[in-house]
Amino acid sequence: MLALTNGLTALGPDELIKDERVHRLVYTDTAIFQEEMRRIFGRVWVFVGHESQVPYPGDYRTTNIGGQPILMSRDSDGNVYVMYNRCMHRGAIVCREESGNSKYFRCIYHGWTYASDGTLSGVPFRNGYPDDFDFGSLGLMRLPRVSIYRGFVFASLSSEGETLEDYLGPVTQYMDKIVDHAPEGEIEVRCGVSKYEYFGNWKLQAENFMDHYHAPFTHESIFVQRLGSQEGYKSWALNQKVRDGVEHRAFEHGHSVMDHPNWTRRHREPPSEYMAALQTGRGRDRAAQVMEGDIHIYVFPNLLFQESSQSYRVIRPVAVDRTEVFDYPYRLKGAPESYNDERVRGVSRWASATGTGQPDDLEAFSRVQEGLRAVGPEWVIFARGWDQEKFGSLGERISAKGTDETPMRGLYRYWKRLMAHRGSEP
Amino acid sequence: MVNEITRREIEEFVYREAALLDERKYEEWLSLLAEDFYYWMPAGRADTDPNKDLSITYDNRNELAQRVARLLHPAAHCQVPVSRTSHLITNIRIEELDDPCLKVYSNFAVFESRSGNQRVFGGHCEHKLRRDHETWRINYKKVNLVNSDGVFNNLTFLF
Repeated sequence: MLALTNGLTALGPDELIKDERVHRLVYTDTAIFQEEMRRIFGRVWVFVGHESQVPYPGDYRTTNIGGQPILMSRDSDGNVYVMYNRCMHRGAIVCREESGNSKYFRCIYHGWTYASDGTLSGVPFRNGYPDDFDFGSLGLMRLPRVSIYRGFVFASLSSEGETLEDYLGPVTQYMDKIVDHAPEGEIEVRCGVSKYEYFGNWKLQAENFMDHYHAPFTHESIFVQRLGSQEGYKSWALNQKVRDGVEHRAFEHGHSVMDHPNWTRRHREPPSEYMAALQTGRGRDRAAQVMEGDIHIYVFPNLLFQESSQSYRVIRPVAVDRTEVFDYPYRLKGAPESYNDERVRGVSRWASATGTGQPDDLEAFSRVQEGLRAVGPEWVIFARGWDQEKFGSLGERISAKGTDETPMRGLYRYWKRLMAHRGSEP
Repeated sequence: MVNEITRREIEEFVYREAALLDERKYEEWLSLLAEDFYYWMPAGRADTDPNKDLSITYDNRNELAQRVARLLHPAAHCQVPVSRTSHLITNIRIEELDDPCLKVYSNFAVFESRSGNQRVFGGHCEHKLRRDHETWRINYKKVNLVNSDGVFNNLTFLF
């Protein structure tokens, strides 16, 4: 039973999450944040990294899941391992670098050494331990469940639960669309990362990414520039057909997809060299399919895809009011170099810390976090299209209009389930 | 070794550029830039390829002109209120290239204050300059933050 206090009252998930509104404590309460790290990040499938980030034996990357230090590495057996980045002796992290290549991990403290699959391979002055001391259980602790879909490595800190494919559900077909932009059916994540942070709760980024309502207001300045004039901007911004011409689907497990169904590659013809490669690699039908529309995907809790930007983002909660987001552009294997180059540079232009778009979103997030300090106004409202949702054939909820808040309601429905869970698992 | 007069001119030029950025006199700053100018702030290690790897910023002159124009729009929320900055330029070393070009290496610190928060950034800067009559034009400006692999909030003022 989740019991929280904000001084005087205890509120449980039923009182925090209503059908069309969410209590401010969900964004501001440190006890709730700690419970989220335990009940959400400590339990469900969490995105760790992409296989192409550790292509060769000995390659590794460090990251965190719910603040816990994690190490992903490729062993000489060809497999990817996800382990706690934590020496089994006295608890130091064994790897400080963000990424690299090494035959082993050696703890700087007492020299304990581990292979790339975590096996304990060296203990200095081993005879100092009792003869029957069990070293066998002291390899770097692997996360209980690791699963990879189309190169995307997910892990769970919990040993129980559904498979990754069941957890992702219909979202796999959207992830397929993303990856099938590559003529060879694989992406490569090796062109750097944009790292930004904001002083706000982690869920604000997830909400914003699936929000088609905010763009004309938050991003007014860049759209005025793109559309050439304030008048040009106004006619676009206040064009409800444009705003509403987008469809949201909210799936089980908090995931959602936002699709611009009539938006063919941002109204630009893709270069013929790329299309030829894509048609050859994926077949003409599939090539035509992936070039239709433009999607955003939210994979609860921490992964966001932006199809036309050719990038994905990882949400890294730091504190209840502080979040890091790492935005990774990727290259499509088999696409012309120049096609990939252009896309990588586009990510920088919009979503770097100096970007023309993202910093305005971050300003909004910090204003929300500051505004939510007010205790009197308790609720954050997600009522847009609340009474208009339809059910799809896969059980998903479908928005009526593009500015509806279907994805946010979907996020909080699953959030509520996870935070109310009474099982023996943490 | 570059002569004293040229050294003085270069220092004045670099300080003047810093002042224009502090004062947000972007039009005047743009006039210091050569047509083929590029502005590069690498992300991560300094030896990335800006055409293939993500940079914090990598703009040609046109893109830079658009960038500063957008920052001046009243609804550029990331600069409302504006960042007040003070650029400190120091450790200036000049490398002569084939006339009329030269390179200027410097260290910098930028103090920035916005919405009651003050931040400090620092790093190494590389300018390539080309003499243009009585003055200089900047061919490129490369800004290497010491924490170029760091995580940043709003960095929309110009270094």
